[in-house]
Parts: sequence; C-alpha cells; structure tokens
Amino acid sequence: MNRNQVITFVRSFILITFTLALIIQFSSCSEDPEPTNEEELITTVIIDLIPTSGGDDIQLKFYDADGSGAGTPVITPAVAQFVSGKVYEAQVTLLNEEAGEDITEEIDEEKNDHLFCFTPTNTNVTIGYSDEDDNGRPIGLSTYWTVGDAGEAGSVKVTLRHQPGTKDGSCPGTGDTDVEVTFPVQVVE
Amino acid sequence: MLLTLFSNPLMAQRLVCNHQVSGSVVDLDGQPLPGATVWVEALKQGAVSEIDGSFLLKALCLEKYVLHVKFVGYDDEVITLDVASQKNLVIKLTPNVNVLHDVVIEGDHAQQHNLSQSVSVLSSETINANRGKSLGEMVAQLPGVRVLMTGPAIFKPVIHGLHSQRILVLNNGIRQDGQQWGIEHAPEIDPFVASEIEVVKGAETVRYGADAMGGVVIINAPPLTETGSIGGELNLGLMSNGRMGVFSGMLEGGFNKSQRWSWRLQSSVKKGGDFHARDYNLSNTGVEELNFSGAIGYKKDDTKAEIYMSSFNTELGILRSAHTGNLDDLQNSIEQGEPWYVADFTYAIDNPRQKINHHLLKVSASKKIASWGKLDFLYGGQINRRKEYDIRRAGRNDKPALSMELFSNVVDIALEHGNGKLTGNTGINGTFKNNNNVPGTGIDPLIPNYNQYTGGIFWMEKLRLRHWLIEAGVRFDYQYLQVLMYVDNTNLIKPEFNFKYASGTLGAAYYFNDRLRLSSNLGLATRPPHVSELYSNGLHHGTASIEEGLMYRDGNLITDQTAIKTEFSKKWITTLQWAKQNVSMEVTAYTNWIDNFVYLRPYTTRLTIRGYFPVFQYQQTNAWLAGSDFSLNWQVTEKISYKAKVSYLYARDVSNRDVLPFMPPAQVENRLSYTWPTVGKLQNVYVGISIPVVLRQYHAPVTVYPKDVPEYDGNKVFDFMPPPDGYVLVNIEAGTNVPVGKRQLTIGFSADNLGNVSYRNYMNRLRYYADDVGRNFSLRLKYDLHAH
Repeated sequence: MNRNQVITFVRSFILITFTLALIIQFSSCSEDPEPTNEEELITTVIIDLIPTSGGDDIQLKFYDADGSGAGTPVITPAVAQFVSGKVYEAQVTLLNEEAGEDITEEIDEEKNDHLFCFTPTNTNVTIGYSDEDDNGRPIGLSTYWTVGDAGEAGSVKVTLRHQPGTKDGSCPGTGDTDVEVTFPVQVVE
Repeated sequence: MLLTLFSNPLMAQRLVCNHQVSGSVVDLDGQPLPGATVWVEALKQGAVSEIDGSFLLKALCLEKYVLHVKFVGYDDEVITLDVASQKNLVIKLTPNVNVLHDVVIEGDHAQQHNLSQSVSVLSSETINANRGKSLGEMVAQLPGVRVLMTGPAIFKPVIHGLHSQRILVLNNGIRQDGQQWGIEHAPEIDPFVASEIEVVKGAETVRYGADAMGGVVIINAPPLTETGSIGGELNLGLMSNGRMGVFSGMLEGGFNKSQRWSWRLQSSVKKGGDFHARDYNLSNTGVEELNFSGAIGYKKDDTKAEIYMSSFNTELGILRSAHTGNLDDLQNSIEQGEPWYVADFTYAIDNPRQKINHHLLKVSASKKIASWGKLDFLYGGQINRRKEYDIRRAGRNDKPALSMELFSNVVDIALEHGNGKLTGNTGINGTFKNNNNVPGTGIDPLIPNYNQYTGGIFWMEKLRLRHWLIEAGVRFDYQYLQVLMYVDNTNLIKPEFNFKYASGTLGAAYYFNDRLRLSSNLGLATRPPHVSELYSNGLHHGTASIEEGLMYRDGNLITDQTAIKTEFSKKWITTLQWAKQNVSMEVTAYTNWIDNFVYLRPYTTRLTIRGYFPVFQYQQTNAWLAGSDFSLNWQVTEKISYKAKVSYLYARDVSNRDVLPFMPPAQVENRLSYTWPTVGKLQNVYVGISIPVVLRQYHAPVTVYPKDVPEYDGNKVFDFMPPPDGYVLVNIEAGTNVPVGKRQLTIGFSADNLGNVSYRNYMNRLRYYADDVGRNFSLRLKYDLHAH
C-alpha cells in the first residue's frame, strides 16, 4: 500500500470519529444544575397537647433543618411536664419548613397507608387513638394522652410508619419508618 | 449489471473446479510441521501436512476459500485462500505450548492483555450452559471471580476482592461507561452478545487506564462471518424460580455474497417474576429486559472496519422488604429472620425498582501498514440512563428518586508494531464523560453533576525467546474533573480537580517444557478517586446508613483537596500451569498492597427526624489483599471428567489494624460429569453434578446490631449482623446435541440448589432481610441456523 492510501484511511477515520463525537457532545453540553426542591423532607414534628379539664397547654417540637445532614436537631422542651391525673388531647403536625409545606395533609390524604405509633418508656402516660382511617384502623394524627402517677423523667417515642397496602393497625406492623422522634417527658403533681 | 455479477462469470468459474493449491505448514522459525490439518470449510474437505510440512488441496474452484489450519500445540489459524492468485501457500503457526492450549491464551486476543497475567476464560460451551443468567452471575464461575449481589437479579463481578470502579468491563472492545460506582448497579450488558468471556485478574491499567486496577472482564462477540452466507442462532431459556423466560435470536450474513461486507443483528428479551427462597416468595424481585445489537463489518486485505451498536434496557424490582426507613426497621428485619412483606407470586414490578437504558455506538477500524505495524482506531459513544424509584408519599412513586444521564466518549488509537521476537503496542486514548442529574426528582442528588476529561498515553513491549516471554509497559494519564453542585441548595460551586498519574507493568513467563509454564506479573496501578467517592452524600435505604464522600468532614463540605490522594496498587500475581493429555492444573497466588485504598468506614451516629443513623464516610487507608486460586481439570476416562476449583482471599486494613468489609469468603467447588459421545442420533450426551461449598467469612467485621449502633463507640468497621454460616449446594445438569437435518439443536437441563437449601450469602447485600433463592430448574434450547 502506498502513503496516500494510509493518509486517506487515517483522514476518513478521524472525520467520522469527530463527527460522531460532536453529535454526542452536542446533546450533552454541561449546563449548570438546578437546585433541588426537597419534597419528601420533613423538618418538623409538632405535637400540640391541650388538657381537657383546663391547665397549661404543652407543645412538643422536634426540628431538624437538614434531613440526613450533619445539623443537630432541636428538641423542645428539654423535658415536657405532664400533670398527673389529667387527660390531654393531642394533635400531630408535620412540616417541611424548607419548602414551606404542611406534610400533615399528605399523611391525612394517605391515612389508609400511614400509622403513628407512640411508645412511652419509664413514664406513666398512656396514649389512645381518637381518629380512624377508611378501614376503621387508627391513624394517630389525633390522640389522647392519659397521665398517671408522678415519677422520674422518661420519654415518649413517636414513629410514623408508612405501610402502603399492608396497614393492619398494629404497631409497629409492616412497612418502613418515615419519622422517629423521642421526646423527654416527666409526670409531675 | 446483476447478470454480470451473478450468472455468467461466476458460474463459469464454478464449473471448472479442478484447481490445485499446494503449500506447507511451518512454525515461526520456518521448521516444517507434519500432521497439521488444513480444512476447507466450504467444501468440507481438507488435507494433512506431510513429514516435510507440505500439503495439497485438490478439486478447488476458482474462488476464495476460508481455510482453518489446526495443529496441536499451535494456535488455530484462519486464512483466506484466493485460488486464482495463490500457487504455493506457506502457513506459519504460532506455538501455544502444546497441551497448555486450554489454559494459556495467546491467540487473537493477546493484544487485549498482558500474557504474564492470570487469565480465566469462560468458553462458549459454559456460556451456552448458563444462558439466561446475567453477566456477573456467569463470570462468578471462574476461579478467583466472585459476585457482589443485591438480591437475586443484581450481580457485580468481584475480582480478587475488588469491584465497581476498580474493575473494567470491556464490551466488544469498548470500556463500559455506566454507573458502576454503586454497589447495587450491575454492568449494563446483555450477555447474549458474548461468545467468550475472559477475565484478567491483575492490573491492566497500562492498556486501559485507572478503571482496570482490579482486573478486566472482556466480553468478546464472535467475529463477523467471513463466508458471506446467512446464518444465526436461536436461544430459549425457561427457569422455574421466578418463572422466567429468556429468548434471543441472532442473524448474520454478508451482502451479495461479498466477502468484504458482513453484518449481524441480535436481540434478546427476558421476563421474570418474583424469585422465591425455600420458605417464601422474594416479593418484588421481578426483572424485564429488552436488548438489541447490530454490527456491520468491512474487510479487505489488511483493512478492517466495523460499526457496532447496542441497546440494553432493563427494569428490575428490589426486594420490597429491603427498603428500610431507619435502624429500628433494620433491627426488626434481622430479629424476625424473614421478610416482613411476602405476597403471592407476581410478574409486576413495584417500587423500589430500577430502570436502566444503556446505548452504545462503536466505530472501529484497523489497517496493517507495511513498515509500521497494525494501526487500530476506536471510537465509542455511550449514553447511560439510570432511574431508581423509591417508596414515596403523596403519589410521588412514579417520580424517580434518582435519575441520572451519563454521556461518555472514548477515542483510542493504538499501533501494534514489531514482529517475530519483539512486538509491542503503543497508543493514546482520550475520554470525555458528562454526568447529569435529571431535575425533578424532589430529592437531593446522591452524586453531583460532573465533567471528566482523561487523556492517556501508553507503551508496551513483549519479547519472546525460546523459553521466555518478557513484557513491560508504562502509561501516563491526566484527568481533569469538574464537579457542579449546590451547597445548602443556594450556592452553586464548581470545584475542579487535576490528577496526573502513572501506571506500569512488568511481567515474565517461563516455559519449562510443553507441559509447564510459570508466569509472574507485577502491576503498578494508580487511580484517582471517583466522583462518588469524593462527593457522595445521602441516605442509603438498603442499609439504613448515611454515606458521605472524601470531600466531607463531619458532614460539611470541604474545599481543601490536599488530603485527597490517588489510590496506588502494587499487585504481584504468579501463576503456575501444568498440563498433560488428560489433566490440567493451575495455581495462582497474589498479593496486592493498595495505598490510599478508598472504602466506606463508619465514623459517627447521627440523630435525624427518622431516628439514629450510622454515618459511613469514604476514607483512605492502606490495604493488603492476598490470596490464591486453584483449578483442576481431569479427564479421568474417556467419559468421566472431574473439575475442581478453590478460591481463598485474605484482606486487611493495615493502617487501622482491621478487616475490610464485603470480601468474599473461601469457596471450593467440585464437578463430576459423564459424557457419551453418541447415543443413537444424539451427540455429546452428558450428565453432571457440581457441589459448590462456600465457607463462612471468618474475617468479617465485628457485629454491631442496629439497636446497638447509637451506643457503639468503637472505631472498627462493623456489620449489622454476623456473617452467615457456610453452605453447600448441589447442582445437577444434563444435555445433548440433536441433529435436525443439516442443523443442530442443543438441549440443556439443569437444577440449581437441588436440595432447596435455605441459606444466606455474605456477598449479598440483602442478607439482612431474606434468604437466598431456592431450587431452580432450567431448560435451555439452542438452535443453530448455520448448516453443518
């Protein structure tokens, strides 16, 4: 073979290659990314408790701005003080404060797939459900907290279970956890 | 025009089929080789060379023939004979060291890797006997090769303990550029395109760059047809576990009987539902696949060109129960010992699931240039789309939680030069990759957008002496990486990285005689950290863990790049191969020191609104991996054959005096088979049994159950549950070839895990949630459309 043939061969290959490279390159220009609107994020869990027979309201709040990020969550109050012998009506609110959204509505719309579980530890608080979904199973957005004898500080763990298609009303039941926060509580006289 | 092409001249020539061609078969030194077969495929006739190496082919027509020249101890040679122009043909054969033929690879693919490397080959027979399995599952049958699994459908090859971005998959000569950084991201390749799969178990970074640090999986498609006649094959596979069906078809031929142009079209489709373990369905583990590929080739004298395109499309379910919200969920799964979600069998694939498309375009050309050598050009363009769907609230299930598009371009120019004793390969290559997160997921991306440019230059030489083969090579690379990401969702930052790095290889093989060969290779490989290792950030639902990259400190982004080092591996691998007529044996030993080895290590526990999570961070350490593989092939009698293989690996984090996670435990496998050459009309009837024994991983990380994670203050790498016990499986198989007219039907039957044993595999990431798959019966049919 002669020199010219080699040159033609090399030239035609380079031409084809660069045409193809250009086509692909063209469709893949590296534009700046858009910021993400974190829709799934829950930043805040609030439980508002109102005593049925008068007295001070209690608000339990867990706030974590950055999801799985390193920021430390803020839990208030340091220890919530429940008064012995009282019954509190409780209402759960979930917020995505980053996007300014009320997640409680999402849970309410999908109440047949969601269940709040309440686990008191070392404290005389009993929690009962006062709402139910379309299948007659508890949801836990509305509850009543019955307070017994005074004692040392304990805690109440609140879990939101996501159970699409498998909810049977038992705790913790199936599915996976969307929220798990623990509030320090104490029953006082 | 058509008339001239088809009728008169050709027919006239064909009528005169009394031409003769004489020739001789010699070795590389010109010494005659008596007893070599020279076969004319088209005429089903041939000749055997005489004592002086000479042969005579008779009754030839005045046209071109493809000759197959075979001689024991030498590489098969395929050459084209043009009867009109050829009178005395001298055929040179390259020795492959006699009976080592089956274990030593020095033929066509020699330019794809160093000859002093440890290489294992999955032959077309083995591939055929495993049709329907995924690529990773297939290569795991080779000694030293294992697989990292995420459930029954996602398999990642692990070579001597290394995987993901340390293993290069070479698909038809093109480096596979997918999302290989994720442990639950399997290679996006249809194994039906492969006629042979080679696995190189040492560093091949000199030829292929940083990704080949841990080895290369080379997928070879069969060469395009040279005869111009239409042929093809059909494959059907049916599996009981998962009620899976696989079908593939391939058609190939030439244009107008032209010997210059040829083509191939291929497609495969797969559909399977939920797999099942012994005691329960593995709900939501269905899989769907639809793949195409096509090639057009041109060949004239010393010029070859090919365009190859392929499209791989899959959707697969991830075990429903493996989606955990937090550590409590994981603890419950481990305590229960079985998946919490078990439903009736279904083909439906629900969330969590993955949807992957991978498209490839390859253009290659090569030309032999007289005084230079062989010049190879290669361009590859790839588009990889990966979508992962999670279980989400408020109708967001149809929105991918992760959606990425990777565009990649590769240009590779190489010159194979020299001949006789000294040959070499030198070249340059460049890659450009662009990875974008497709907006609209509503979730912060796991890895950021990036642009990556790499340029490399390499030089390799091989010296062949009477008993020795010596090879050496060196490579320099430069990589520019630009990352585009948001900090706190408001500030766009574009950190840039410049990596300059080198690789080297030095190897030798010594042929004691035609039965014994010792080879040894030292590979020095450098790899800059991948974007995922630098900037990963997010929650992993499969393991209830937060993962953070090297560019994070205590959860916050850093800008200081001085702490980032390139990984540097020094692997020394030695293989002794011994063979005689009915026995062949191979022992490989290796030791691999890796400086700045990047891996995930737990460093803290973090409280979030979902509870506590362990935080794993990519860190760099000095690691040491050493091990040995052994394999034996023994043709006990004409009918009975026995195979054995053993793999052992020991891996250690030297700096932290700790073990390394996810290293495969020791494995032993025995296989016995009995073959009848013919039974009536049936050919090659066989039955076989194989018994893989997988040991417990005795060097597993310390166990810290999820419930204990918040209190764990040790600094060791931990695992959420103890490594599972070892297990023994029994697999049986049988098969035969049935002649159907001039064509052939191959029937294969197998039963894997015949005893329906319930077991868990340490290398399966879903072992916290469910058992591995139970018994599986398979039926495989292959119909060869080529007339024999």
